[in-house]
Amino acid sequence: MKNLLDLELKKINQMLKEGVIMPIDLVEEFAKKVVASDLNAFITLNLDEARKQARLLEKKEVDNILFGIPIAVKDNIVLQGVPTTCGSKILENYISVFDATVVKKLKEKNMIIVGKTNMDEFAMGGTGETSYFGPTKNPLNKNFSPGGSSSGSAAAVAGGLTPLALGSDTGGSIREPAAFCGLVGLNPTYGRISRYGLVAFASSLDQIGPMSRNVIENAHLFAAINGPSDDDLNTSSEKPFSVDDITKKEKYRIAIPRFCLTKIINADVVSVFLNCLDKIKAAGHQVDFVEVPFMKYAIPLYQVIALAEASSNLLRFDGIKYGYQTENYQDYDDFVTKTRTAGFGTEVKRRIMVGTYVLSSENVDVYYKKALQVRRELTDEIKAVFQQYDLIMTPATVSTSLILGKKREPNESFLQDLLAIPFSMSGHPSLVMPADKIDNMPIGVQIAGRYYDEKTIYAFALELEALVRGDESV
Amino acid sequence: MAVKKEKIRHVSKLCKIDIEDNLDKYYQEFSIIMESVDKILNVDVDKDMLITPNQSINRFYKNESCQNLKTIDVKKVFGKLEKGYHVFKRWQK
Repeated sequence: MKNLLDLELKKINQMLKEGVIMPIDLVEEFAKKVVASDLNAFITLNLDEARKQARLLEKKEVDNILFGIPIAVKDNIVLQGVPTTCGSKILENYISVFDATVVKKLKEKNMIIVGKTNMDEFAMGGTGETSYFGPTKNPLNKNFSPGGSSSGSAAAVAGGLTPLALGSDTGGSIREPAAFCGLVGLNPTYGRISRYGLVAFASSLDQIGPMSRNVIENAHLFAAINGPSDDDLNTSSEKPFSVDDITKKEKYRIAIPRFCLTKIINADVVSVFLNCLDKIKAAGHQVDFVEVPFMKYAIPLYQVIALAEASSNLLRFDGIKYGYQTENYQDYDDFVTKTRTAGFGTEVKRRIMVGTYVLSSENVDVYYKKALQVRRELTDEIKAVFQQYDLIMTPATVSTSLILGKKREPNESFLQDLLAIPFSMSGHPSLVMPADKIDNMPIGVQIAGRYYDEKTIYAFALELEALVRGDESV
Repeated sequence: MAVKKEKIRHVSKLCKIDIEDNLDKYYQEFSIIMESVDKILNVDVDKDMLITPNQSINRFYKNESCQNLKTIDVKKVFGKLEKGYHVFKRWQK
């Protein structure tokens, strides 16, 4: 039987329940597809363990929709006994000694982890090109980037290798690749999902989230991995999200920051976005333009806060505790310097240095403290909008996907995340989903909601998905 | 604020990253990023910084293990993240 992995989860689940197929059939199909693939979506395959697990599942009852489904996991999320490289030379040979909480939760649902996906080095980049293991290609057009930093996770799902994947998002790293590959990606409320076992980049922003082909499958994966965790003090004790919580409302009040129409955003993207809003209005929902002036500071804010936190988090990679070590050195300083110089890529080194610079004693008040104040202003603005509206919508990215191999200015890697960063800064949940295509490349929209209100985002996204499809029964 | 090349060399040493072979390249790229970062320097802000990242206070409120936090002036006590963390840890004991 061919292309099982292209079927909807519901259908696969039914076939597993009826015994028409076995989990091993799904794993073998993945194995065949991944060997034939030239996307460079995976850094490490986990096929032996996946086959072993699939055989064990044959003795178990199919008790949930994710049962036996192959899933790809971004290579900054640890899986016991399997390399975790973060796309970096400095961790090339690091093998994790424990499972991340999300990995444990996937295993509890009897999902099969088939591999670790390629990514921008330490999640720093927006095209997948900063990976030490080479760039990932966009399955929709291999001359283009799938976006980043969760490049491999997006390519795996869009390329039909796995129905689902986990990514991580610090300032758009799930949402941007989802938009570029025509997928659904969620950056949940800060604290919804345990980050225990996620290699830290910027701790006040980092999140793990689901990537999928459609909205409902995204919700199923999110439901499986969210909830409090004793391993991570940052997780919320809010009632965990369940797919049953999704209830449709007759009318949504949707705010559109006027900033979305700024000239920085590509005209095609704006046009698709406005068309999408027309459909939403025609379906009877309230759509109003609002002012969120502090959104325009998103990129400098991110450059200060994320890079400051990164410079601190990446200090641990000194060659003594993990991964790559230089062979020729004279003393401790020389050892660490040579290891870090050879182990990190250019983008990472640049970001570490900028982060260290803004945290230096003469700059900490000028840059870092100021950035925290601006973050507060932006957060309060967004919270004020949510006093009157159920959702905020924006385009997902500034343009469609970018051509691979092009020389880019240092700020270019941040620009695509212009509209994603504000919600990372405020900690609000936001979901990206496809709205249309231009020149056969997808364009996405972003839907943000109140804290812990992913259910409203999903409910509206389901409706929008049908509207985009042209389903008149909505 | 313009960054001097010597400053970048100093920062690279603090980071234990050797950039001597590409100092000019890093200097140019660093300057481009700092030009972007400088946009927040003149922003008018009338609020203090977020005392903990995002919704941490709400989460502390809602966390059953530290309900005592409801009775204090959190903003006053949590002057800075670091200070707040120590308060939190002390109460945990």
